[in-house]
Amino acid sequence: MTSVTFRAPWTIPFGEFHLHFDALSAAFLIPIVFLSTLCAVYGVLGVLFALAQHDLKRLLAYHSVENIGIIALGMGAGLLGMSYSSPVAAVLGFAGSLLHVFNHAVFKGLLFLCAGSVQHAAGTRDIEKLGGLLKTMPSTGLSFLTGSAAITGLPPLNGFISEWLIYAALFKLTLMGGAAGGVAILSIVSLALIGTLALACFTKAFGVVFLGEPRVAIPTDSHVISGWMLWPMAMLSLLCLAIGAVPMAAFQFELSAAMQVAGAPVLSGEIDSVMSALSGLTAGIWTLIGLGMIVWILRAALAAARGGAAAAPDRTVTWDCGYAHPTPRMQYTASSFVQPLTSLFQMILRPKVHQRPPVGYFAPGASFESHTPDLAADRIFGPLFTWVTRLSTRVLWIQQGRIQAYLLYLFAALTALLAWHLSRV
Amino acid sequence: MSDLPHTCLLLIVLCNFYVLSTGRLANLIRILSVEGVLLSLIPLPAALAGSAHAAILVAGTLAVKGVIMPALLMRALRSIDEPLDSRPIVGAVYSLIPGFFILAAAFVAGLHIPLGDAFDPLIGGVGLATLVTSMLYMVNSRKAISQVIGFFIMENGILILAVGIRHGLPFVIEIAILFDLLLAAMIFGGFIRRMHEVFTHTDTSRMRKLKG
Amino acid sequence: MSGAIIHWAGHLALVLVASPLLFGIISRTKARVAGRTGPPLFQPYFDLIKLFRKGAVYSRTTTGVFRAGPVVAFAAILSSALIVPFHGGRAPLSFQGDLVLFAYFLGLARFFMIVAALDTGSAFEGMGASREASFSCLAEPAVFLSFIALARASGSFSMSEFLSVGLIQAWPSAAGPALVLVVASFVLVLLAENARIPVDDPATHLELTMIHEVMVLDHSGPDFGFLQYAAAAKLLVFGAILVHIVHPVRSAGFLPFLAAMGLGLALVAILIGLIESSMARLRLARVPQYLVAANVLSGFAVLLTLAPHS
Repeated sequence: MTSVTFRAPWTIPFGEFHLHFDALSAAFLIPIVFLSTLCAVYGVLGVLFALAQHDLKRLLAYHSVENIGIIALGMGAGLLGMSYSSPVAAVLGFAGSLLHVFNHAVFKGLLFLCAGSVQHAAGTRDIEKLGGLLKTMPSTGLSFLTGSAAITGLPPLNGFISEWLIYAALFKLTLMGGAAGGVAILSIVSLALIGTLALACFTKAFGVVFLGEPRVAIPTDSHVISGWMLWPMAMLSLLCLAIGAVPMAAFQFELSAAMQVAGAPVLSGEIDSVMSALSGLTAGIWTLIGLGMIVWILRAALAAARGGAAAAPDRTVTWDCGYAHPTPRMQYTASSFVQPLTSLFQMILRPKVHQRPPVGYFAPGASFESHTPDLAADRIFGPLFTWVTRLSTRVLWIQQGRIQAYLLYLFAALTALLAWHLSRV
Repeated sequence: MSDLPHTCLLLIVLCNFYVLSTGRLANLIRILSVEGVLLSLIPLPAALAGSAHAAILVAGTLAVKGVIMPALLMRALRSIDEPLDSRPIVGAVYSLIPGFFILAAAFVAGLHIPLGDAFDPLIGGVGLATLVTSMLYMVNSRKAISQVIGFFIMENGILILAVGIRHGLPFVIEIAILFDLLLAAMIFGGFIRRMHEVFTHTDTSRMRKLKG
Repeated sequence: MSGAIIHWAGHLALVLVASPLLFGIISRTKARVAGRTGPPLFQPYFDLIKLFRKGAVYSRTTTGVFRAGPVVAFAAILSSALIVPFHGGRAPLSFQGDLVLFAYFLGLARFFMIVAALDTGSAFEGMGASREASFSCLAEPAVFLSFIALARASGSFSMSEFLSVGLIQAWPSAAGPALVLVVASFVLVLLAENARIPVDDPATHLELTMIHEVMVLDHSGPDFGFLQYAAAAKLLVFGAILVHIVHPVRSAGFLPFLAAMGLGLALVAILIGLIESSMARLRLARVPQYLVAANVLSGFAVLLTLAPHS
């Protein structure tokens, strides 16, 4: 046993308790299970809906839903830690979710800025019409790549650090077993699923918008992008990289806030164990960066070894299996890219296919179109807004347009107030 | 040797997962006989310890559930010249994931069933899980013969629970159950053949026209 | 300090030297089963040297992302190899929770391979990228569930511990059956993640039957060499984990353990060769079912570790 130093008495919002957490765990468990399940489902649904979108900004907005799910999963882990007397798990969970709030602001802001400059230059947000923009807008593209890698939670960027902290909290809870372990395991599996679905979605977004060839010939005026638009993107990308490279500093940044939320002191020995894990994490991240540089240098050395001045590599057309006329329309579209996943989850997403198959020999024409409707907008928010509008139209008559009517309203309100005041006296 | 019931129970759970994910009827009947053999091995340690009751149970279960019943079902299957796979109502992937969660819940609930002291605590969980598997399977299948297979898997689940119950079931009742199953297999076999003769198919989802 | 450098360099050297041999063993096994003699065991090394000496040809459609892809993928997989223990001691990179870093390093490699494939603007690579992205969504939870089961059986969340020391007392205990299920699930995941039959066919080059092979179609020269090396290293890493789970031995000596690990890896490669020779590839519509089966197996293993035992 390491030596123990308590920094403050144990206080949680319900008052001061010392060691009587057993009675509380049962009371807290059901709401926490409900919260964690809801957030896991919410996160997965968010990223599934994002997968099916082909409007760039809507896609990013649905991803925010997923990230809120991740934040809430971290909070669930923190709450579980609090109710099962594991202050380290509580602090890790809350630190992870607080850091994710910050990280999300950074990389989501970055992604939206890039989407805005894409829209500004190309005039459309429909990714099915875009393509190959990395060649004309390299800085925007590079920032979008950084943002995508960050939001997917890949090392060495910042999204990975906050997700790792949440995972660490959930691992501590898993080792405890019982109901807490069950909930923690479900949360871990949902986090893993959310991570890989986010990877699929952002490879789609980045790949379809910035890579390959333009799918529809839209005039893209990249000179519209001014320095004022580029500098914020560059700053945010650098911030993503910087936070990702120093996990210990990021954790320290959130530590005091997390301890305050968790309301419990954490033994200094346990903080040290977290710090040693984080230093291992830092070592791993810097190893990745180091190995990357070594491999890059190796490749350059191999190219140089082949032949000095003639070392410029040949350029040709992409291998096309002997097709006579490869066109940009042969590229994978966004809906084709996610088709295996949308068909797997079709009970939730309900993709629609409109096809006119070729009929007979020498068919005159055929067409195929697939799209996934935006279920939240069509089934939930659309009817809700229509209902609100209808309700509002009913009371529209109050706005008469005549000044006499408004004066009448004023005097009536004054009289009513006076009468009410008099009745109370 | 004391590990044998534990291993058999785990293998039965794996058989249940296989039942949920496959659609080929011949394989399902073979899995039924494998489950029967595994079931007969559960009271084996007690039989080897000298209990005649348990020994007869082992032999009887092995004969009826492992050999005779699957043979009767196979004969019924061969006599219907239909495609040998039943398309499930809900596809394989969608039936496996909720199936797993329901099985997990049944497993956890079954661990709390009070059992005799000498028995493996897994018995309650596995028995309940097998019952739930059979229900899921029966709801999800179209052919009459798959409903019958589901019924026999349910019987397996009940037998697992019966083996572990605190004071044990009376011997007479256990033998009666075995003979019951034998009769049921024979009757169901004949019934399916008759259905095929009259309707030329045994797809129960198409029999809704029979309602008045 | 120098001890640490030797440890890291030695670990990396081991991975780099041993990984192409696995491909050689697999090809040789498949050839022998088919009645042929087959290529030499060290053929993959010759192929890699040949590729590194060639020049690269790039498509006009591609950008810097295409050139960065193989570098990042190779670096990420080598970094993930530093987390897996090879000699019974601790791996160079080991701390509580390093399995998340392991999984996400593999995810980084996958991200850049997919993005490099999409950069070519060709339908073939897009097809492979789409399938790779979708199938990894189902394989990741299985990997995490297997690791959770192992961690609960051994009581620690560091790969160096739950793959070696912690598991030794777990096998004979009540968690034994759970470990059998974990092995079964991990074999399924290994075949899926390393693009082997029954999920992918590494021998043919038909667009409709490939996932990994078609993603790397347009790379040439040293880039292709790096990607082949990365695939070999990934197979080595997964094979090493499997060998650890099946036989967590903590030997007294470095060399006997290394020899045992080498033997285990060779057996894994022979097993893969036998599976490839005896089965056909699954229809692509059936691969989700295969991966869900892997998830269910490891999920049940986790359930067994959670249940109280007599």
